Amino acid sequence: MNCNNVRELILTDFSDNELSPDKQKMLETHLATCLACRNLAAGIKECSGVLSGAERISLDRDKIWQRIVAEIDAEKTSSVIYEPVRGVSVWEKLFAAVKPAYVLASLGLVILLTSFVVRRPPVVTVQLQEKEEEVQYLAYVIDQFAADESEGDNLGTSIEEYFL
Amino acid sequence: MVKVANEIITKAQQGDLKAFEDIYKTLFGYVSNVACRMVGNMEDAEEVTQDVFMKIHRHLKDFQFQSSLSTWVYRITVNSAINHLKKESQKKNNVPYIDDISLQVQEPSLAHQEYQEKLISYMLASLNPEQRAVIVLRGMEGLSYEEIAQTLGIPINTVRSRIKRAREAMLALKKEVSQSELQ
Repeated sequence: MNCNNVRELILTDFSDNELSPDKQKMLETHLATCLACRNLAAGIKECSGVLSGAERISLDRDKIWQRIVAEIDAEKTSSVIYEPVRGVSVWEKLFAAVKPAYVLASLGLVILLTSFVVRRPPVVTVQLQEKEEEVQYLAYVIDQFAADESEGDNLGTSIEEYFL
Repeated sequence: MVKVANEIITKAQQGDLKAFEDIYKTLFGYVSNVACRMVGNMEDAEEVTQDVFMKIHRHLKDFQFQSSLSTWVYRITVNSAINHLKKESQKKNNVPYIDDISLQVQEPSLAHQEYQEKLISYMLASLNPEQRAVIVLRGMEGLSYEEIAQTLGIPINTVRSRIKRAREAMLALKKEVSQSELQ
């Protein structure tokens, strides 16, 4: 065992009795012949002795318990106050508040659609009438044109006939 | 490690405050001692202790009996203390200076026990929170490396390396104290 390996073990497992009996014995053999490692082991033992010999610090148990109970009660109270609200979501509350508006809007929509459906046929009729009128007008114009043409021929013919 | 009977834990899980008080009384000494040694002053230790038992109360219903209650409680305590230290260190740097040690320990009126207590405080204050946790659990609570690894949820070799670095730091500090005492 060289000093570097021993140093690692002195700082950890050896000082905390975590080594196997065989390794523990090997290390003790090394310490018997190495002053530097022996000094290190003594320093660690002293530090560990200071820590393990420390008194356990005791806080005021009852005072802290009272504070814990008060905090538990406060948590219970806040959860009780919150419970009724928990059943109804924000969206449900909002929907309940605007329900009449939904009904009115639905009614309005129905009326609008109905009026649209009811009004649509006259518009078609009017359009048809307009088309019929256009057709009649065109027929009239064509007739007039034909009539004028025939009248012209007649006139010429009649004039010729007049002078002849 | 302290043992708490499973039936008491079960009762506390069902909301029995008396059973929770039994758990509190059984574990209070360990929680408060670790909290005190970790945070370094009584006032903060009270706050951490209260915080630890409130966490236990809130989460006890989730405890599955897969590890011992003590291991679970030690873990909560160490984590709460580390969180507290990290929060505090963001506010101020509360680690004492080495120069303060020679001033304090050289006072002849200090009794041996007070001297030891001062030395412990300064040794622990010289460590970072993670190193402090393994030293408190090993050196003061007497947990094995395996128990420390389980408690902190870290590999056993990490426990070793933290203990090693912590002891090197404490030895260096102790050497400085001895030198200042000789001057």
